[in-house]
Amino acid sequence: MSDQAQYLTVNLAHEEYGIDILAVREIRGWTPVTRIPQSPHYVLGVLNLRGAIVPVIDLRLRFGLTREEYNATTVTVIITVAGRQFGVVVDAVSDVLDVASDALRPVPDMGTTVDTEYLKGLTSVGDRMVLLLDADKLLQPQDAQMLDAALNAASDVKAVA
Amino acid sequence: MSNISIAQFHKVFFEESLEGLDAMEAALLALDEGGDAELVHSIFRAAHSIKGGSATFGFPDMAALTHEAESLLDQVRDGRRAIDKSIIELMLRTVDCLRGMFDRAQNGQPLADADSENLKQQLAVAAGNNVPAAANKAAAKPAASSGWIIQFRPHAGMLAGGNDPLRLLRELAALGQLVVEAQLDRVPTLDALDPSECHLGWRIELTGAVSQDAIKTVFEWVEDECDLTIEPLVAVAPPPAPAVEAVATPAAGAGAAAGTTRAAASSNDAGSVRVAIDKIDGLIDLVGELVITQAMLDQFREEFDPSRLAMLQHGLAQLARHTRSLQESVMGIRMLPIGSVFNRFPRLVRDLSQKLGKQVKLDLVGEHTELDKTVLEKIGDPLVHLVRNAIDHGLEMPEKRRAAGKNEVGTLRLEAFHRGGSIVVEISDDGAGLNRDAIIAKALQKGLIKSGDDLSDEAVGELIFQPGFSTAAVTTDLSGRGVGMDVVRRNVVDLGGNVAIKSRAGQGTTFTITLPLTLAIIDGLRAAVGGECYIVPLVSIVESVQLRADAVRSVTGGGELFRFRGEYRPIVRLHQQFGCANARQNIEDGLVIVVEADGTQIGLFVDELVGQQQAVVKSLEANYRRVDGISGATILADGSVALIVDVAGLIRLQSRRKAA
Repeated sequence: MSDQAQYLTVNLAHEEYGIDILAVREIRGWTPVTRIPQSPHYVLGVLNLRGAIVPVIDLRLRFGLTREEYNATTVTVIITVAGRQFGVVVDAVSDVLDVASDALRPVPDMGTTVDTEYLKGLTSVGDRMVLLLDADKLLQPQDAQMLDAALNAASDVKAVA
Repeated sequence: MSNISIAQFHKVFFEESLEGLDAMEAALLALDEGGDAELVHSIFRAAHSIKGGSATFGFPDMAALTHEAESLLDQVRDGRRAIDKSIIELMLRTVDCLRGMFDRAQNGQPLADADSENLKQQLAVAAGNNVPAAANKAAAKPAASSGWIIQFRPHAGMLAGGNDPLRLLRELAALGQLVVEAQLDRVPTLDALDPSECHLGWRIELTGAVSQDAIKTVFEWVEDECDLTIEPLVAVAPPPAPAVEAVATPAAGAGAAAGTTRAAASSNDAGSVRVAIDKIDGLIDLVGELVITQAMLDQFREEFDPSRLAMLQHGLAQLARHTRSLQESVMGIRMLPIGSVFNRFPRLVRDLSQKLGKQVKLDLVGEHTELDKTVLEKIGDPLVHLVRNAIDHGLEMPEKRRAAGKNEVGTLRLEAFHRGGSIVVEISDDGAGLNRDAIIAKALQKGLIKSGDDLSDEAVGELIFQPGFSTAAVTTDLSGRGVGMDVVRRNVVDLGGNVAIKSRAGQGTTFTITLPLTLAIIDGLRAAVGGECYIVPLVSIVESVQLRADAVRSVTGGGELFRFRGEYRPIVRLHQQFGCANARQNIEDGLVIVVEADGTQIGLFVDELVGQQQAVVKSLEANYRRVDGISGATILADGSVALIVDVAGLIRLQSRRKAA
């Protein structure tokens, strides 16, 4: 018996993606967010999650797909990675899957609309294929670099002669 | 030994010891100005508890150093030697060194370094050399001995008194090499064993040049609770192997435990606040009130009858009142007296004035004024800078002061007080004041002004806050100030405050720092920009004006200027800056909010002002990152998020754009 992990599967442009369920904090219906200036286009804005300010990214835009109108099934999945929370907007949530670690296959370097950088593997359930997302990389790595740059800039300001 | 790790108490120990060191330093400085015996006692007590604590918590290096300091202090306390400058200097260095050790202990680094070893030796020498003849006679013979045999038999009830024999052994180990032999003859059979009593005794051979007094000090607190004999070690045997089971095992165990938890402790070091009990009691009372109000309002949920509308209104009013007081009380928890920042100044002033050969009297006023913890932590550096400047450049040398008919001793005054919704900190000296001519000359040379003839004193004072003034070319010969003043102002402005300067030639200079009471809640105006809503902090708003199209001048390069009170100010169109769609484009349709920071004014063009509100500041960086021109976010009454405009940041962006 090998290790099992549970994944929440979400729909995105007729494909099915899995997010490690331990990283999922909550699922909420789509509500409008407050836009943040000077953000990458896929960062829709921030929302108020019980007093915390949480950025929300559109997974379609993140993966370079076109954005569709938000409808009744559009949801925001709140994810916690490394102590930071952010929301991802997906077309719909569908299922929870048990995936054994030996059922995980590497991603071939083609055939998907999503950059393989953000995937950590794929698995098949019956005749469905599920792509497993690497949640750590969704808001990174560009953003982490930008953050570092901002912090460096801030620290020169603080230095008192 | 129980398995409870003592490392969990480290944090409290560090905090208390650092407070003890602060107290020691303050008392030493007071002593320097001629204090009484009570001060010596308080210094001794502080040193003693640090020594006891550090031995208990497994920091032998620290215990050894404090032990030496304590021996020296003991001589002073008993009147065997008079306190003098050299002792005070040595003690102050010990305080510094111990602070460094605590720093390293918190990071899990080795405590001792060359400095501490060196200092320990100096302390020992100071304590040893100056034992007067009378006391010397008793101590001389044993001191020559190379060691001691100590018979230590705790009474059965010693543990109940809170004394740990192991700690004593460890303290002894700090004095020299130990050979410890446990005496098990009094240990009862298992069925008669009372684990809360002490049945063991020890025969301890202590090798090393240790005075009998030093050993007695170790046992000072348990004298009445044990049988103790101390005899000189007669046979000068070669030093035996350093560690022996009785001590080695538990000590090593504790050390390992301390090692692991220390790492854990440093990882979750989120900082802590000490809160006065009455503040907490007040909070509990308020929460009680709130629960009662809630219960009262809950009645209406069952059945609502329009005739009870008045009661409902009354209940809601009560709820609003309690919420407000609860908010104030919770904010109060973050408030700490500014004294904790002021405390570092007596030492700084003393050291600096000695170095520069000036005489300075420091007056601290309003140490109990309370400030938000965050503000408090960040105001320290700017204050240090201003104080250093005041002593270095402001106050004159004694001869010069005498020549000017002033008291040779210059006065430096730090005062904190409330004014309206702000805290004001004033740093004033009675020195020479700003050197107007030199500053004007410098400003002319830098091209900051065109002519210095008709400048008011205030305008001259403003000049030193210009970034151009903080260059190495401004040396201390120029008796005006200005080294890094722009950084001071920027630090204060980042906290939402401001710095002003007032100077009278020959009479002195006063810096006035105005700070907001808290950073957590600000008053702001809601401004609408193309369907979006931004909060502009009220403190930075000067005025809002509706401009006629002909009042705006375009400049080549795309900039816009408008005339406000006789000066041209740049306009920042918020919708361009933040990329808002559907905003009003025509300058006559919107409003220009004149805002000020860093002494610079700009106009922010927005669609309209929607209203005023208190905003609870939330961090954008916690989950996202810093955004230029935005200082944070807040939550509006409808639960949506609004961003707070960073006025100082926008002005900086604007001037950078101009420079580019």
